[in-house]
Amino acid sequence: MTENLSSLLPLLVAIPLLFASILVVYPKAKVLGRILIVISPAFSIIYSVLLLIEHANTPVIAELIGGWPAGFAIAFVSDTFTALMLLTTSILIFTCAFFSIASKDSDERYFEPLFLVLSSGVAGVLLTADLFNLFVFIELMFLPSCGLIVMRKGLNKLASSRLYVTINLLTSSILVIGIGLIYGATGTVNLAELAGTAKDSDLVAGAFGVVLIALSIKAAIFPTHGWLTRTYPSASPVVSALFSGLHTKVAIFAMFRIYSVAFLGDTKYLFFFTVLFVLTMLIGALGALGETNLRSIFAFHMVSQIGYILLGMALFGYVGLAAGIFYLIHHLIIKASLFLTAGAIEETFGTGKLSKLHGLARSNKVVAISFFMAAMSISGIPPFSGFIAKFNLLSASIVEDNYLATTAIIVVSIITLMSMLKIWSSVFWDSEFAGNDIERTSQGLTLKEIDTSTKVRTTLIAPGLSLALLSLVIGLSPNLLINLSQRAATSLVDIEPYIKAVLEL
Amino acid sequence: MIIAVIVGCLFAGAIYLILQRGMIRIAFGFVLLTNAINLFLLSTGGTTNREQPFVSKSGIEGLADPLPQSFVLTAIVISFAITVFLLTLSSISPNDDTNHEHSVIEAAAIKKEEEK
Amino acid sequence: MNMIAALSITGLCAVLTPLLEIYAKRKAGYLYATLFIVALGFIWIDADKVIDQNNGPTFSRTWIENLDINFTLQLNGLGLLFSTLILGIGALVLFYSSQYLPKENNSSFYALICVFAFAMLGLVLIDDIIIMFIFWEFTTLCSFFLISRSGHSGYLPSLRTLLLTGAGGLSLLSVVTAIRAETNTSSITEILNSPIWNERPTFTATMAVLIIIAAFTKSAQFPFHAWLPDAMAAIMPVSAYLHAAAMVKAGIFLLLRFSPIFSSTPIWNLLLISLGLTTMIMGAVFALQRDDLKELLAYSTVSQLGFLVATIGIGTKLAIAAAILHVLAHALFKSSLFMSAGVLDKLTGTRKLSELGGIARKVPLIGATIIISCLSMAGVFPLLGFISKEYVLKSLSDSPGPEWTTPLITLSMMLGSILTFAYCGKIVASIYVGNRSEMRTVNKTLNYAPAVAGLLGLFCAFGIKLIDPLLVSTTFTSSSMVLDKNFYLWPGVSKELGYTAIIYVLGTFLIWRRTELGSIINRQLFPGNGVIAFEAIRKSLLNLGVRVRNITSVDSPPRHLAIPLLLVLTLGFILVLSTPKLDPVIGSATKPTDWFLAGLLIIPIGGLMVARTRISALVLLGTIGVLLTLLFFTLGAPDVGFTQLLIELLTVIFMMFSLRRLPKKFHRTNKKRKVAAASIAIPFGIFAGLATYAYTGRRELSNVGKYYLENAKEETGGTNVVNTILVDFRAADTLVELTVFATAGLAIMAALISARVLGAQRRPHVKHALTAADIFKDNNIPVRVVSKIIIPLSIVMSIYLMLRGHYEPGGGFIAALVTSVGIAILYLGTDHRNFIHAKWLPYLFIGCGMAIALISSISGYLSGSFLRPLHLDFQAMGFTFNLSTSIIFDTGVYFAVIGVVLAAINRLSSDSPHDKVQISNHKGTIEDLAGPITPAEASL
Repeated sequence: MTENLSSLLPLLVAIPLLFASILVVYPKAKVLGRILIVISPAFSIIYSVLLLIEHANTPVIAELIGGWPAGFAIAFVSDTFTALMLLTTSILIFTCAFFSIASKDSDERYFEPLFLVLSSGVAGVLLTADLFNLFVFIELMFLPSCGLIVMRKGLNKLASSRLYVTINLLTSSILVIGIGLIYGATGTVNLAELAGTAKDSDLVAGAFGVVLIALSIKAAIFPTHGWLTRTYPSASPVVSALFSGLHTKVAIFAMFRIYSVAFLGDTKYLFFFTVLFVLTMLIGALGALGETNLRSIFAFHMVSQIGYILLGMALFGYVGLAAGIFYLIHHLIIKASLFLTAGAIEETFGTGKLSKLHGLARSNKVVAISFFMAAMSISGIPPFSGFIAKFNLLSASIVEDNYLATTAIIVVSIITLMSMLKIWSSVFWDSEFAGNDIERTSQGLTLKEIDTSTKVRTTLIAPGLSLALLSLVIGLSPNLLINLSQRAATSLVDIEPYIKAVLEL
Repeated sequence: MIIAVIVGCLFAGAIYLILQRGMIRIAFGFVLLTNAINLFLLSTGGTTNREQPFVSKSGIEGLADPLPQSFVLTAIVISFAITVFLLTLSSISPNDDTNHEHSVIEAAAIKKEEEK
Repeated sequence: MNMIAALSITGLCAVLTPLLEIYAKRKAGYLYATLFIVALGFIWIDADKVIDQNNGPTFSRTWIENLDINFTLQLNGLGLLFSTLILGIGALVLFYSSQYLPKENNSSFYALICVFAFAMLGLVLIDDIIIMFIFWEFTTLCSFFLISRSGHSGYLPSLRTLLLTGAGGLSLLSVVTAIRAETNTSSITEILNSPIWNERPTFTATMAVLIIIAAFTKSAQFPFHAWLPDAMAAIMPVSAYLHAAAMVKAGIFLLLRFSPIFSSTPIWNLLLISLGLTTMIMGAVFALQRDDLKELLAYSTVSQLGFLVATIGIGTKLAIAAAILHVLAHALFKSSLFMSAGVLDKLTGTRKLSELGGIARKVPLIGATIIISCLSMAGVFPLLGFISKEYVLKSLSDSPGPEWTTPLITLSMMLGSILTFAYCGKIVASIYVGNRSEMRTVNKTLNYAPAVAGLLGLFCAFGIKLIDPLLVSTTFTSSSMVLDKNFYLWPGVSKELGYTAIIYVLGTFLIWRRTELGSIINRQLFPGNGVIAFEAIRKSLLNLGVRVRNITSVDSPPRHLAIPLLLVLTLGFILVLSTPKLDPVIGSATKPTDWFLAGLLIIPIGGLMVARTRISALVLLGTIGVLLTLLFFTLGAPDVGFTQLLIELLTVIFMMFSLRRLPKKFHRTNKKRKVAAASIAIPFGIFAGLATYAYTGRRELSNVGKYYLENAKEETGGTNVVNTILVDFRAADTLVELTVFATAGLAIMAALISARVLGAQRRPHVKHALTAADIFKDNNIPVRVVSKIIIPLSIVMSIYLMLRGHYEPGGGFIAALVTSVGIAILYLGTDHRNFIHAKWLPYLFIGCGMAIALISSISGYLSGSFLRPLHLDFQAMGFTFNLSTSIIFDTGVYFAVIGVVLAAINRLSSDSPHDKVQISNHKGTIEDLAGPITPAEASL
């Protein structure tokens, strides 16, 4: 079992690519395309479940690609953390595939191949244990994204596409510089061989610092968050859902991994991290409050939530990491749900502007329910997964006596709730909704004119709803996920098995 | 370590261009940045031994480190791909200016708003 | 088990609602009421155990074992009393509702009420602090929906309620988390007995304050009282149940539940007594001001809750007992009053006391009810309110804190009572005095519920003996002390009775002179009210948010690119300051050629910075590329050199294609931007140089590099080590790199399509104006000539390069690039407006290229693992060809690259759209994102 599972790891990357190549040759084969974009994530879901089961016995399994000796070959590694991320991202991709079919995004020329390449890139980043290979896979995520973000846009959107490409190009450059510095200083790019080096030498720490900067740009941590909140909402809804779940989260995964392996969770930077991430939480939440259309609000939330997740890293230690990982998974699911629900609304009414939408609670009950569940979950209200996530993080912050974090978690979540209610009141309640219309007219702004009595198609709302329900299920019986995230945390705290597996010691 | 100087100059130039107005100049900047990075990557293997890394009878003495070279080869191609995409973006619109944003206009509106 | 039964019955009611809405409409209320009574019965089965031995039944199931959170129900005195209130009053309200509600669609109302009852029941029965919090939040949500449900008037109030109580909830969350983290248990019973409370006074004090915040937001205590009057937008049954009897009592419950821990904590007594009394008096004054009966009742609730809070603050067992009794009393008379007010509203269509004059004489039953309830509220003998107030006054004698406080507390409590007496009188007087004639008729059954609630106040008073044991056990739960003295209806003559007398006298006086009194107090006492303050806070937060958002609301890349660069610079500074020790440089890293090339490089780099026209910049860029190629060769990297050269060529060609569309000159850049850019660029350059100096050439050849050099031949059969790394050792990189390249082709296509689909018309002025590349138009004759032979030549050459790749400089990429350059030159020669090949060809190449590479990689499994090459050597024309899968792999690379180059070239080189424009079937494009916005736009 272990043997096969490990030796087949590369297929997680190869199969989507193979499908993609087929679809490039037959761009017109729409049905085939739809089938493939659903099968490929389905395959990864099954595979990662198998991996999770496997990891109960063997915590880490590694595959040396090309069968070259350990240390000289690129290694693909999977432990609980990896498998968990694989599973969640695949679920997300799976859902988005359905949405893209419903929203006709998949009809766009080359959407499917790009979609598949992106998903394979994700698998690669999660699996590889080689820094330069990591860089290459990050590029493999980046280029399809370039294609996806420009889709369904005119020149009016060119600006944001340009911003997206340039900022990411710069990020990749910084990343590869960092990797170069690491190789220059240590003579290896194999993460396992680099274990602890950053803790021992400031020089190496500096090199890794550059890598972490690059990753934190990808993850849109304050003060680099601006590009994300600008570009994601300008992509088509399904694409922004996809991006929100993949790019930032994968970057976070890499940060967790690198900090635990290379820095061995060095405590001397943790306070600095706390401050940084708390700022991220705050800025994100406030920005969301100030935004005026659905997906921009969610984009800012994402920034704030990323602060939460990484707080888990700043509270380095078994409890903190477990909390962070749980939050990461919860966030992946619920944020995608929000983006897809918003997507469903936009695809139906042609706008995501709060100032135009109204009264959906009356005309589209399911949408309202789906949104409300997701909103409550993300604000950490029971009985949704968000509550458990917040509770874990809060406990961790208290256990680690990090009261700055504690306060931040409390304060920010009330701001989050405010912005969610802002959406709720203006999009789902009737437009006569007290006060603000008068205010708007006095400002000479448009009233809510569009007709929102149309029904949102079931196929459009189903994906978002199902993810919201998943969050509810996790909230009601969180045992399994807590268990897994604790196992994942263990694999970050004690990296011996990881190193042994990669270097075949 | 004159290589270091060259790397420095290339980086400085690249960054300067990247921060300019207009897509094409930014694109040029990135091309230059790629060059800078490639040179830097190559130097990470050490610039003392400069024999071409081919297997020959006379051992491996003085051979350059092959790994950075393969890194560069990979990096070069990737950045070329992105550059081409960047060029497309800068040329699908007849205007590659990066300053023509609605935000600029609205910023003015805000100012008025605040003055009131 | 019985508790589960009770819980599930209330839960069941919630589930039933949609069904019953169809069959029973609003009449379903009767059924729910009955079910509630049944549930109450289940609770009371174990009552004797609780009352006699103070050990109620418990029920426990594990919920989250990893966090050791258990769903433990435990019935104790407090739980018994509160669940009685919740289910009893609940039953009455539901009974009432089935007449009061509109005839149609009330399912959401009933559902929410039942869920609420369920949550409250859970809250008072649960023994796990975490789950208690969950139930707490549930009640908040229910009240949010029940308020917002009542239409537009309810929207803003419901938002305010949710935010305020939500904030309180967060305070509670931090408490439960902290307590659980410090005591390592989430069982309330264990927490109450934990030694930690005596060991760590500061912790205890902090927890006390946080709990108080939570309780105050829920029970509308000053300064969080604003939401309750606000919430009166909800319909009458909701106000009667949530905002008088049950939900607002959750805060009181919380205080009582944790009183055993904190009753001797000074801050606890101080805050509860002072703020409680403030609220009591303030609320009473406001109540006295109001003319709208419902608002009056709301403020009186606030005031009464203040009275309770203050009493709990005193903390002696007597005080606690009295408080508990008053909880019961208040629940009865207040719910009764609200429901009566509802009836009056139905009868007359108004709630204004000034317009209700004399109505009560027309409806004696309701009139009597109101009188009884008001008397009870005013604390008049022989009603329950009288007893509770008596004993509260008694308990004041041994209030905590310094001596002088006792009279102060007593006085302010009396003042509060006097005002209470006054507004009770106001109600009675204004509904009896006067002669309003016209009124509608209502169904008699509507009167029963309020009447019952009112009368219970009377019966309980006489039946105080029966209630006494319950009080004892309740007091035991919430003070862990045994109440030794019993409660009597007639407490006997004492100084408290004197106080009461004074209250009556002064109260009556106030009623008598109420007109004059009115003129004094019927004016704005405070500049603003809670709601205004709350809105102010909300607004300012909103504006702050808009500011934060506007900072980053621009699309200009440089603005965003600068930040990461600055971060890297900062890191650089820190690193330099920390001055890490460096190993010595090995050997002589500098060769004379470097100086030469460096000298040559400076010039074009400098030139590029100041270049005005795009073409000149392009030429300079090309020069830099070529010089670097030379440098690469001198550094012993022939493959890199070749690749660099070819890529440089292609880049230049592509750039020329794109320049053809763009103006000749660059945009002017103002001085400010130049300076800013330079001030980032120059330090960055310096740091890059320093980094190269510090990080390179200070160690021997890396093990991995050494390994490749030594074993390339045996392992792979190749002698060009770099190439063996690319196609064998690190083939994974190459595979991905190839895909990246291929993807770029697709991305470009996507970009062009989307630009075209959504109407990217070429601006006419560009057509006519001299574009940057026009210069090339006239002198491309020689190119045409060359192009005739270049294609075959380049193809032959590339095949040769590919085959030898494993041994000499070459390989798939270089080969492909050679061909591409050939094609590119051909294009330069031809007229840009037409194709020289079918437009699907490039994508066929790309796809096949990827497929070939992938299949050859997967075929590696035949020899053991993914990407494991299979080797087969053979001799031909003097060369040792090594036919290995890596060659096939390289072929894949070759095709993919060719494909992309072809695609890119003919996309970029052509002006006219080649593809039938596919009209997108989406609801229009994605909207523009707003740039900076005004707060007004964001205020929603």
